[in-house]
Amino acid sequence: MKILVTDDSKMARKMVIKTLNESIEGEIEIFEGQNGQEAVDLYKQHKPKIVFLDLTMPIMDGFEALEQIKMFDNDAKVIIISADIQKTAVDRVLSLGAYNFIKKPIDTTKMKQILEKLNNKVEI
Amino acid sequence: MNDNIILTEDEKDCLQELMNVAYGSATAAITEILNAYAKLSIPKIQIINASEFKDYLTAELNLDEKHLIALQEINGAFNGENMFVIDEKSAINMAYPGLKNAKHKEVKELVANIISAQSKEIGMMQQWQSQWGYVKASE
Repeated sequence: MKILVTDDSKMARKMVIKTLNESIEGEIEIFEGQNGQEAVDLYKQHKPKIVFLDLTMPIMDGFEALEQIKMFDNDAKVIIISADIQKTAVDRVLSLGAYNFIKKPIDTTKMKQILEKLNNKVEI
Repeated sequence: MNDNIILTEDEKDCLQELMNVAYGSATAAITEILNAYAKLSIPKIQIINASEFKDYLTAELNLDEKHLIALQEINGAFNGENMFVIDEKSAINMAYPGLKNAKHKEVKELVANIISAQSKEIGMMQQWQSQWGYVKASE
């Protein structure tokens, strides 16, 4: 299964990937992006089943990337992982069609629960 | 003692992410009270020697202006000091949305008092500066 992880922080990407490896049985192919533009390009290129997307990033932020990904594929499963935990930011991404929101620092238990919930919707 | 600190790119990334999370939480707490939204920017990491810090601050800040500073000491496995600096005018601008949008009357009153007191102080300091013939650092 293809998964896209986008964050300008290498450490943040590593943490997400580590949790994914612990949570998902079977083969996963992970693509990494460092900004919103890369997220959009990688999504269009590889059509991953799940996207993890940060909000505060250079070149293109996560809000715009989410909008563009959803415009390209309304069924895209995008999980936002961000330190911008203001209610306005959370409400905005959910209204743009984000599947869920995980605040930083990442609660790996919550992330695993979300992945389990997604298990019924996408074939993990 | 050599006080030069050399951080690897991974260590810088880690520190940047740590700041990102810390300021994200602080911003969410403040904007919730003020019922406002703040756009977060990406933290920048710059390494300077402690001995150069005074010169750095002098170059970065307009010393004609009054600044508000919050200091926080961090102890434990990771030791350090966190210093938040904001010039008074920016602090007042930051408080204005609270005057209009805050949900609680007490917050609106507190913000109004802060803005009123700080605005008076700015005016007074500018008057003294002019009366006493002090030249602005920027001139």
